[in-house]
Amino acid sequence: MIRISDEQILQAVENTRSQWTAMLEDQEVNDLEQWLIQAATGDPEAVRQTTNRVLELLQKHPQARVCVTSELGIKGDLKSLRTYSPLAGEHAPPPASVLMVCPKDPTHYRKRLHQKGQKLFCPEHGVPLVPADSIEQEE
Amino acid sequence: MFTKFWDKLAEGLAGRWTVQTLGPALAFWGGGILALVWHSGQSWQEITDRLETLDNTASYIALAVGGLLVLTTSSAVMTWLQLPALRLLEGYWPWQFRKLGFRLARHVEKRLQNKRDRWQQLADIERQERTAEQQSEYARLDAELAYYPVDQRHLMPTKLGNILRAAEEYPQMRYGLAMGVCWSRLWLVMSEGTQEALTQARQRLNSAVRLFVWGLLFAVWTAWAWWALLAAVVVALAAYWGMLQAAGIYGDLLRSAFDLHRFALYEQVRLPLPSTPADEEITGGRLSEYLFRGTGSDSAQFTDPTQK
Repeated sequence: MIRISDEQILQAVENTRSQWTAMLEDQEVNDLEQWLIQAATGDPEAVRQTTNRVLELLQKHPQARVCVTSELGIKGDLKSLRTYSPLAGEHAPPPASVLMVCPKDPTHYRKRLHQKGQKLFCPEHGVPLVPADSIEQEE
Repeated sequence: MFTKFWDKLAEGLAGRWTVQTLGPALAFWGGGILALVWHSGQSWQEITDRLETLDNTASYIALAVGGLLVLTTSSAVMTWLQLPALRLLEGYWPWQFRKLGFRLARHVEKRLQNKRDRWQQLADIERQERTAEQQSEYARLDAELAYYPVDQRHLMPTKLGNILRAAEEYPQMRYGLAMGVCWSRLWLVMSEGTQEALTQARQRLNSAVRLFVWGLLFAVWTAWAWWALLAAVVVALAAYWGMLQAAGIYGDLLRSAFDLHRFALYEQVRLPLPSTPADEEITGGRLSEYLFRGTGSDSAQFTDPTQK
């Protein structure tokens, strides 16, 4: 998936400045100029907020949206470029390091904990398993 | 002036009634018309000839407005139905079917136990000693098991229900934070970007639910055309698959929202942050109780926001 930064989006909007009046309402042009001035300070929060506002504005004006996306050299919805997408591949799982053992006899039954909160029981003694570390500490 | 009006109307419709909302309704009603034509045995030529007999503009406008009304009304009704439909698909069934739900959940538990046992076997093999096949199976099972509730009592009869329940249970299991109490508060302290990502993920899930219901409803056209049943099954299956994907993404984002923003919740309420991960279950429980009942934190001191 193409990743486009907020700065790139704002630069593309800036580059289409000459066409704003033909595509946007007068008030919107004024707002846009103000937002870009705020973003020009370089403050990351101002850049992010301005980009969000610009994207909202572009959602309302398909012509302006096409203009900005072609300036960026992409096809499709600008907002979707900032949408979270899961990774496509298979990944190495993080370690499952907590070993749970039977408190009555730590050597005869042991299981690894997949998730915190999981209840594991010893089938022989019917008691909840405890972390192996806690048994070692007691010893 | 009039063109501008239509432009604005079209823009408004495009904004509020996106392709995701109106598209399935259009396909449903269009498919119904197609099924009717199929049933009537008329050719397209006969139908277009009949349409041409409507030679005055008023008839065309009435037809267009009527069509638009049917589309928007049915889409609005479907939007209202999406939450009850989602709950049914999750496995929250009416009381008459509750027992069946629990029985199915026990069946899920048995299958899940087999997966957990296999995961245990693979986890006991040192990472470097696992074959490529074992490593791949281990990774798949490890990810899959995370989409089931940890607490067996929370198991749902459907896969969709389990994916969402696992995510909803997560803040309680990890941080002691009750999802039902903390979610609305957490939402208000999250950044716009996080809210937007979550909203989009939820919309994707809702769209898949609506598509599923439209797909099922498409079966009513079977009365006129046999292929409507086939189309209904294909669309419903594809929508359910899409729903599982969307629910997975939504669940991942819900978990991430709690992982990254829970301290902001403590700070906004001005209650002390947990000092260690081991403390979180207790402090999270106290915070949840305080927010919901107003009790549980009487002995705590509010933190001073000026002291970081």
